Amino acid sequence: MEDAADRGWSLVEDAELLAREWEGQIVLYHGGTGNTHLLDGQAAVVFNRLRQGAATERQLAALLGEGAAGEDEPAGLRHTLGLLQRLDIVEPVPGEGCRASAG
Amino acid sequence: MRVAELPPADLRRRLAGPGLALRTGPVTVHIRSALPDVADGLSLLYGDHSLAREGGFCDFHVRLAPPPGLRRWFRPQVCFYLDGHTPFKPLPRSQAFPMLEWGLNWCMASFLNRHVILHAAVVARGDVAVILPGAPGAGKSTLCAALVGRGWRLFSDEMAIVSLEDGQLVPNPRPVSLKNESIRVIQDFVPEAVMGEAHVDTRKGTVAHMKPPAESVRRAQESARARYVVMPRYRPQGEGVMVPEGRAAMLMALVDNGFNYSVVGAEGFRVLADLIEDCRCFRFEYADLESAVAAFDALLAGEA
Repeated sequence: MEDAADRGWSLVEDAELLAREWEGQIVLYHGGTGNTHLLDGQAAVVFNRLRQGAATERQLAALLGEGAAGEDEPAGLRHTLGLLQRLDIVEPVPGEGCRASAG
Repeated sequence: MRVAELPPADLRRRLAGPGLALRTGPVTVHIRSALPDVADGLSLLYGDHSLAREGGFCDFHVRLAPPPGLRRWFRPQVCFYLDGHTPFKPLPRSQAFPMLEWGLNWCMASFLNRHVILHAAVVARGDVAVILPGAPGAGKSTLCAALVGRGWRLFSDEMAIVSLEDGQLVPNPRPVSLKNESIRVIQDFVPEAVMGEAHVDTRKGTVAHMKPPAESVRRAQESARARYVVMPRYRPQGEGVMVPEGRAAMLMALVDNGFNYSVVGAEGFRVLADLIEDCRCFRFEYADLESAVAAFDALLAGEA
């Protein structure tokens, strides 16, 4: 069974995502839903990381300085990923696919 | 030919008969109405606007007329027709001119889809255009009227029109819509302003329109690039200070104030993001118009 920390995430593949960033805040246009979102804080960091390719929760937690699952629960990251998933911006992917691209 | 060059009797006759092709900003509107209030409002408030050639292309064909049936006689009403269809419920006949204004706003917001249409006023000094977005009641039309009364160029009052082709702001200097206390405030602040009739008990309260300056109408074909976005808010205790606002937050504010943003989609996003990139952004709470105008003049003092 896959460890939660090894669960992978990527940006949704089938939607046009247009993003502009100023002072750490990202305005994101989602071509699939037609909605526009303001991402800041963790959401902006996670989004920027996933623009480079899929990543595991462990990798994202490390980027944010949060503990990975099995250590301290990365509650903030989980919340952020859940929010981005509900907005159809990110989607879960198999964790194995992340390691090569995550760097 | 300008509207003011038509003798009032001719204006009424044309409106009641073949109609009048009025140029306003990027569009030509063909207007027909036998109602005297419509002719009087156009004569007073659109006097400096140009008339287009008869029989030429018009973007919108509108008509203000009583609805059929007994309401023609009992508590008379007026309907706004676009290409023969009535998009709105009738209003009391006394509101014919405001209904024309609201109807034209609706036409532009709904059908100018080679532009992003924002709920905002736009004023300019020289080549520097300032967008004033804001929710209804925030005080943007009042501030716009005050600035225009003190020499700023009126680009547009109810809506900012941004071209999808080049991101330029397109002028549309039509009458400035003032509501309730703002009418008296502007009459006091700009005594020389030409004001139309005050229409009471409209869905927006009492409404009156201020005639756009002739110079602004004359320059209605000169577009400009936005350089500032200032979100105004009238607050009796406001200090009249421009507080810098982040570009991301202001872009979201423009999106929230987009009339047709959902229609223009990704193209609209790109154009608005480029526009914000070129702009300095502020929030501005003002309590009195004198200091508000001074703050805007100071804002642009370094631009000359």
